[in-house]
Amino acid sequence: MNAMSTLPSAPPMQVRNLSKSYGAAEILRGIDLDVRPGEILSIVGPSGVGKTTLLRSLSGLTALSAGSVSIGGKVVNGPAPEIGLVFQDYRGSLMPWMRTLENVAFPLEGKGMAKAKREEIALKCLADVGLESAARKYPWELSGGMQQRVSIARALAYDAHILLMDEPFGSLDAQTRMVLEDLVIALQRRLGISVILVTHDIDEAIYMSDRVVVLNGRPAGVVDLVEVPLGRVREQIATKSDPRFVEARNRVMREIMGG
Amino acid sequence: MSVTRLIWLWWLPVALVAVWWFASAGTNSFFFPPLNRIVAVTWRDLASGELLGHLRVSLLNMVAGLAISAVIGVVLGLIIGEWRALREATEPFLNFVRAIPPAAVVPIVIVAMGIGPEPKIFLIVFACTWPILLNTIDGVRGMNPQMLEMARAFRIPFGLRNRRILFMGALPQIMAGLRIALAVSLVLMVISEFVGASSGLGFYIRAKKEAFAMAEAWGGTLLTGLLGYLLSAIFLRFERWALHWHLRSEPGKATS
Repeated sequence: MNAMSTLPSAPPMQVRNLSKSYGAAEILRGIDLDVRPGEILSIVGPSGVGKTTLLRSLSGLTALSAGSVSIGGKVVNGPAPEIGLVFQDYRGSLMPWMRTLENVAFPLEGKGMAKAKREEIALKCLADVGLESAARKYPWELSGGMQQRVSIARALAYDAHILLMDEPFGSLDAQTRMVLEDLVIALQRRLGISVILVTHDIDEAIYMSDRVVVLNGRPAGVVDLVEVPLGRVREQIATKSDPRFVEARNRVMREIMGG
Repeated sequence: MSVTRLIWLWWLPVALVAVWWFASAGTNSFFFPPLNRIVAVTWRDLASGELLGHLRVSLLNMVAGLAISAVIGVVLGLIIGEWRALREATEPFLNFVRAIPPAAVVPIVIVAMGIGPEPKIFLIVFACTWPILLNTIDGVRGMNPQMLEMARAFRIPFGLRNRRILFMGALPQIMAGLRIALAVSLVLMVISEFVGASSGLGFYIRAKKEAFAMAEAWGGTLLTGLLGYLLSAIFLRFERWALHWHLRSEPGKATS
């Protein structure tokens, strides 16, 4: 039931020839992508290129104009039960009238789970993100970083095998950001989930990811898929000063800025 | 509450009543009887049960009317607020009906529905539904759309989503609408009992006036005011309880 027990089984996700238009404006064209089970994959690109549109298409919140998304070999239309979404705007996605525990347990209530059971799972997931002690608090009593942890705990409680994160740390200060980056890496390693992360921060993308997808063009397509050769142990200072980190960053930067 | 605080809050009303009490003592004015006589006859009619009976009738009409308006206003408001096509289609109509002073329909309603409690309740519903409906629509529209997206992403069933997210998200505005409706219902309650009624506070005031019992008419009027004050005080408490999360998370928006 819980994410803990599903270690090796994050399903692969396949994106085939995905296109998305809003009216006459074509945003994304012909995107192919394979998300490997248990990887952290980042999507980067210049602002306004359609990163969030791609993530929304993957999450099922936005209908595709063409192409398909499949999870574990099954084509999905609309939000899939394997996916847990973490929004950038944590204020707008946590309910101020629910305590932290209720917020985390709410998707389980949606699954029809009994109260005692869902609160037990929610408490466990809060512990996973280091917030067990905030269970009885309201979201607005917590800092931004803590609220974002609650959002992550909610996705875990939902038993998501694939975590979709849209600029999750975009409105946090640098320090909190690093702590949460490491938290997500640690959760991925421990739970075996896949993580797809949209970010405008190239350093963050390379630091956290196994692979980085670079989007560019209009309509946008995948211009590069960078394998990050940094192993699976990441550390804020050592990793970011590794020559291979710098090399990968420069490559992605050139592709985004067109230099 | 400390004594200082009580004095701070109540010195003005107490002073005004005292001024009225002493200034009106011993007057022979027909239209403005002395306050001590007003209090005495009101107490007499309360003790005899006559006024209590009228109070009961009025309160029942008000509560029934408000409850019906709340259900209609909130349910329709949630639907219209979410459904853009419906909102645009109903907007001119809503703005027109809302502009009709509810008192203007009193004669028609009384003629059409007779003199039982139904026309009174109908009038209260007619007047009170609009503020609740329009505020609920605003509440839904003012919600952070991400909350509803969250519900979709986590596949929250429709009923649960509506109860725990849509309704709760609109609740601060819904309460604002109810607060207005409460004040409006008091007005309509009295007006509807002026015409074609045989009971209720409005009837009492009008009957006493027509019998030239001005002290009683004054008493009924003051009692109505007191009723309104008490009801809004109770409502405020209820609102603070229901919206404690809202008032504490956005202190700037606290109501009085």
